[in-house]
Amino acid sequence: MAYTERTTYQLITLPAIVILLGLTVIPILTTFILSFSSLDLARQFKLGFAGLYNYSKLWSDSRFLNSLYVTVFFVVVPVAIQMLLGLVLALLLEKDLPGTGLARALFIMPMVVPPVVVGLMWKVLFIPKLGGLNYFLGVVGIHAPDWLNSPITAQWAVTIAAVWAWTPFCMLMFLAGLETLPGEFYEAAVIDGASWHQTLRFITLPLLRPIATVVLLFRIIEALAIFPVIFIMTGGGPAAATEPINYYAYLTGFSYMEISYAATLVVVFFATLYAFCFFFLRSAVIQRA
Amino acid sequence: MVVRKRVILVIYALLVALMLITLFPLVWLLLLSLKSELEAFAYPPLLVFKPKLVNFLALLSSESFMRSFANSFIIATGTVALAMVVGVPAAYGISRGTRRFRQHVLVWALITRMAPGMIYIIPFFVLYVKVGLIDTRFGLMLIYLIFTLPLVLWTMTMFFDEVPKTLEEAAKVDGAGIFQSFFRVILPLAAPGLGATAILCFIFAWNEFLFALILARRDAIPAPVAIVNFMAFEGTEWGKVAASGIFILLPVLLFSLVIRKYLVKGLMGGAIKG
Repeated sequence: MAYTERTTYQLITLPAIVILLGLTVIPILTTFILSFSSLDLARQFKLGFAGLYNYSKLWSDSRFLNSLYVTVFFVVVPVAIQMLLGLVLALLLEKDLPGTGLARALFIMPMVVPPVVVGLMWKVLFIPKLGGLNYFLGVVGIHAPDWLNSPITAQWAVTIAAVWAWTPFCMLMFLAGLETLPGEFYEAAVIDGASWHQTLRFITLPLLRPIATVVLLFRIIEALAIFPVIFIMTGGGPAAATEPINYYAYLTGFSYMEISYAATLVVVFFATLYAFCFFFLRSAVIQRA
Repeated sequence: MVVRKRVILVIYALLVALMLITLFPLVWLLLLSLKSELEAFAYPPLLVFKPKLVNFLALLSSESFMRSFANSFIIATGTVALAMVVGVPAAYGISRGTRRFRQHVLVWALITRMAPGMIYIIPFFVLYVKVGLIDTRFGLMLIYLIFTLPLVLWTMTMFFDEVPKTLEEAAKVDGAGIFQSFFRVILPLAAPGLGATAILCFIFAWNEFLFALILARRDAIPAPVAIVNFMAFEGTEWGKVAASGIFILLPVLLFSLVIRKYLVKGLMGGAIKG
């Protein structure tokens, strides 16, 4: 490629890069700086230097420690269920039986439903008389609790909503992964007389490993960002049982107006995110090498 | 692979069960939006009843809700316009640029788009309060570029990749410069891609919640945030709340039907190629 042409191509990309950099890198750096300051909008707009004060506050803040636990819960539990269910759905839909095309189209519907509506819908369902859910559970003999009003069931209510909303993504990715698997392995397996679960265990699952890593990474990042569903369904309660760290940061910054402490929480959130991703990406790299 | 009849039956049974679970919440919301207040709380729940449009009519005559609906349209459309103007030429540059350049820009754009909004929002809030962009539609359009611009870069790069390079070479032989061949030859060929990308961006901007919740207060609030206020003030009128949910959902569903061919690619956000 001619030198001038290459420069032209890079030049027309420049505005987008500059704008995106400005909108993302500067705010992240600013947040980092703010975390060492004392800015409390509930009092007055005065920027002071606080050193490590905000960070030292973290360790005696039991609500922060609780939010860390909730964050881990909402990353580990819903994502594990989503991955498993997504895989099962993909395996069910993979064989081109009549009607699976329509089924695929219907199964991805939750993906476009606005998160606010996801929250709203499930909140309605979990309200005992209004939602009908408890009635139907009662019909099959399950005495259902008042979901959103006790800590543990509220966590599971949010988990269920999250599974509903994001399992389709996992399914879609696994389906795409299944389509790229080479057929020869399966022919060989048939000739060798392998049963279906042997085929699954020794061929399909190992071959899906790379795509599973990608799905997992995407899901973890988005699970960390879960916000509208919690905002609508529980508002973080009861007793902060569904209050992950980014929700706590939101309340700190925008309800209590303690901007600096919120920035500190966001920095910790960012670090958690980075740690999770780094951990999984590294293990993925090691896998391939 | 040989699939036996019994296995097929099991597969269908599982699929139908999972399908019911997937559709149940949506159907319930729709039913609730068509019930009167009394019917909504009937126990055991009413499955057969005479559907009423009172809730929808109440929304249509609610000035504040309709204004938030209009805000949503204006903000989403404006965001799409900004993202396309900046992003489409850039995506062309990426598509025709070197491999290294392409990988760097696209991976970085993907990370930017995936990152939780909470990471960016605090300085925006402080800045917007200072410069008077708080509670403005333009303020929201601007911050929405954080996720729409990467979306345009990814999808449009894929569409430009499909336009054969020989066409530009032919245009070049005929004496057209890069810009001329871009506007006259490449863009018209990528028109379906432009449409699909625009709609995809619209959906994402329409669905956004966190930024809008924090940066809009009264005049600029879009529909998803209006629902929250609605729930706070009319908490017991669940029929209306459900109807407002359906209202917000409808445009998105319509649009995703229009672009269903490209929807899957767009939703996966380059996760596979990335």
